[in-house]
Amino acid sequence: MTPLLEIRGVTVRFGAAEALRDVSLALQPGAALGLVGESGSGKSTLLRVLLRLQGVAEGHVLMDGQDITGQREARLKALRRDVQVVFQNPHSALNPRRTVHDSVAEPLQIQGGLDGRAIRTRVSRLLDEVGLGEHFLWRYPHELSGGQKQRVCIARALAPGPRVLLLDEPTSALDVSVQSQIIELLRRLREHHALTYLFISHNLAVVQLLCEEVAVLRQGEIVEQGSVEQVLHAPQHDYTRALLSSVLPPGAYRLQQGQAAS
Amino acid sequence: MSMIEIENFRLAFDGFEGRAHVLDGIDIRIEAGESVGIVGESGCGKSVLARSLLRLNPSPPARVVSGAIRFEGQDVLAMDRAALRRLRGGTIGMVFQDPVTYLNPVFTIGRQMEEVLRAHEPQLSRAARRDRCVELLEAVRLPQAGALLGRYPHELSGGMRQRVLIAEALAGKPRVLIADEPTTALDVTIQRQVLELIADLVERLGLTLVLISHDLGVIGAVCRRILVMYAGHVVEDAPAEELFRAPRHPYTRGLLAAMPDLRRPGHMPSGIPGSIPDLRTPPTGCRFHPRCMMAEAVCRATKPVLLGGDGHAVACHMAHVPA
Amino acid sequence: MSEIALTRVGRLRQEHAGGLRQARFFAWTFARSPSALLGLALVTVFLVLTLIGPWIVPYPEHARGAVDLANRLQPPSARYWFGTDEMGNDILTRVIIGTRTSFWIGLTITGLAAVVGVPLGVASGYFGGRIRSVIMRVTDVFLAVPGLVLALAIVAALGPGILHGVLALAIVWWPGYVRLIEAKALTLRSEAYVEAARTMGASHTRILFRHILPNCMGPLVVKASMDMGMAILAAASLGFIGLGAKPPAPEWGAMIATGRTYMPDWWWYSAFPGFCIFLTVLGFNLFGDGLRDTLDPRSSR
Repeated sequence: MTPLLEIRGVTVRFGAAEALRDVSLALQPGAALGLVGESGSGKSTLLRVLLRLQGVAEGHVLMDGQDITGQREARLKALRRDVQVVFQNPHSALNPRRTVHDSVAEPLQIQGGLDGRAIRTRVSRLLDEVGLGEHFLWRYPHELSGGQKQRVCIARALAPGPRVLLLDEPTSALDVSVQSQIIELLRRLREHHALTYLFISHNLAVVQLLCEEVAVLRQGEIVEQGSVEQVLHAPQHDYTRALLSSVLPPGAYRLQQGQAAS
Repeated sequence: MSMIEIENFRLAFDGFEGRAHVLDGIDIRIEAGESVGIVGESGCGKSVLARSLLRLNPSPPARVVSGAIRFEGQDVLAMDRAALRRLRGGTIGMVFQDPVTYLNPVFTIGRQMEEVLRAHEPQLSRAARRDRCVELLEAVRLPQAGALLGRYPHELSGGMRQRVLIAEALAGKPRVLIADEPTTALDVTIQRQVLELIADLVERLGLTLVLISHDLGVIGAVCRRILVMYAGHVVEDAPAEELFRAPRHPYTRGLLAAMPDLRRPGHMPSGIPGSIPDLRTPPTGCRFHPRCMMAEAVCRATKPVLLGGDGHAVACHMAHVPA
Repeated sequence: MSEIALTRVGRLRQEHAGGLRQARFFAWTFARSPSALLGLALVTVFLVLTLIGPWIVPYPEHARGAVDLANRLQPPSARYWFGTDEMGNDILTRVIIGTRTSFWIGLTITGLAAVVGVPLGVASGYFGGRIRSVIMRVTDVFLAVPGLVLALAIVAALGPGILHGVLALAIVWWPGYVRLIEAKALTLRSEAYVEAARTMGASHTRILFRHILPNCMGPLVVKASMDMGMAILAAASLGFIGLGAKPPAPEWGAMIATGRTYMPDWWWYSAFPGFCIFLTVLGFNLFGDGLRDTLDPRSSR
């Protein structure tokens, strides 16, 4: 099966430092791939490479099997429609001077082909799908909670009818009770629209909830990749094991150096 | 006399379109040597409460409406400037969330730590101060402490910076350590190390710990007693094991149910419907009632009081009803 | 709530409810600062005088310089609130008419500077790279020469007169806008919502006009307000050294210059125009400060 979106042997350098070194990752249609990495792992760079916002020193970026590595912006129309992103921080992902309606309508306006009324209907429907009522249409971002803002971002990402959603830590900035609502929403949307997900997170438990496969990124390299059962429950690499042992599950126990004793 | 006594404390913030009742009748007693965790989501008031202990909330717009805060019997709200300065850093040390903004980028680590020492132990000579700085940095397990004194904050990683902040908090030999989301901005692997450090220091130095976090996992790992806050109220107060085993407040149950657990792959966490109330016009009675499955008329009418004889207190009219 | 059920007005109100709430919040925050309110009051007085000045002055014919030697150099009195000048003209009248002159001088200088500076700043900050280098070099050149000196040189070349003075000052002023807007555009460029727009395939034009420019308005408005005062002062300075407005045009700086020879005995000649400059500049500065505090919510919310 041809992967929807793929990077092969990609290396990205910033000056002397290598943010990504010989990284290969493939998103099969319908997959939910988790990408786990801490700060400095290169996950943001990887995201930007996939979105063609970042150039590569070596390697290729392919979409539907076609090499889009060197392509100019004008030829990336398919990418811009089919691949959308939801960012980590909902507070900075929306233009503070634009209403919810305007922010969600923007991809529709860029695509063209719909008049004002049609756009408004579409926007209302999208907001409804993410669980926001009509009265949110004319609100400004600062009047919304974190969870509501993130829903708006998801609605905006869905507007152009994408096939792939790149989710960059979409729940990390949210309260845990809101987090589960968003995860449930993402699950539902994936089924409903047959979406492919790349879910970037440092939270392994959340990755387990949403993803089938997971790749572990460390300092620009993929150190382990496989199914969620394999990687999260039978890890091979030391780093993966270190990550897993750092997870603090809910429960009362005493932290002792090296291990947790219940 | 408990070490920290907060009695019917009410604090409001005056802003545009009204007054937000951020803390609405907080009653807490913390004894010497306890490790207490305060858990709650955004807007519950936990950080405001922590800052109130040291009167760090900017005073307009924050306004103490009523109540008292006492530290070892002394009224914190009535203290004069000198006593307050001795309290801050000297008796009560505080560690904040984001090490980036709490360390001055233009001064070396050594310089910043010396400043703290000069404020709390002015009698030390220059050499003695330096030795004490090294001692503190070693206590927080930072390698090559001597060399570190000459470094600037940007040369250190996030975890190292947070350790420096902990060292600074301990410089004045405090008896209480307040840590407000000390690991939230750190990577997962570093987070665990820093928490281990805090747990270790608290035990070794016999400190009283108040740890604030939105993450029950973090709190459960370090604290023996947990206070759950929602919209300006303490809704549950229990020993850590009991809270996880048999939570009594619907919100606590909701929080626990919402946490994803790596050990349970098939289990889908459930959210809590609704959202936190606008504290300018909070719900009548119990502030959680609009989101509560078990709400009855009494919940809308009267504010529940924190009650419980067996060391496990809960503020809920429906607490006697099984889950 | 269906579309049909809402009236046109109802829909408009719904759409703009958020904006109205914002406006109210700004007004409330602004009004909390006494100095900002003072600035607003002074600026309002200034603008009102600009608008209706010619119709309320006691001696309209004195505005352009009538001659009434019998009443020359009269001290301030009930008849002539600010006294008279050496031609017998009422200084109050001339000062009020001078408000108009100052207004359009300040507006033109600031307006021209912004119209040139803002696009350059946005382009420089947003595109970076070579565009930025070029714009920065040019800006640096202009910034290297002290403002007033450059203005003098330009006016000396073009010849005296208000128009040339204004042009000269506008040329001196625009680099400040480039610097300010460039810094803001640079930070905006890396905001998540700008990245999001790029992932939607938004063209640069769209991003610039929809995302970058509107969010530059804050610092721009603050700077423009404060610049109004400074521009008026600069123009008056030019007038003072005789390179701006020429008498008998009722420009404050020119009036102070002429009045200088009559100091200190006939102090009112220079004093009142000078005092007006002071109040105007103070007003715009305080107003600009107030705007900055309002638009930059560093104070607790």
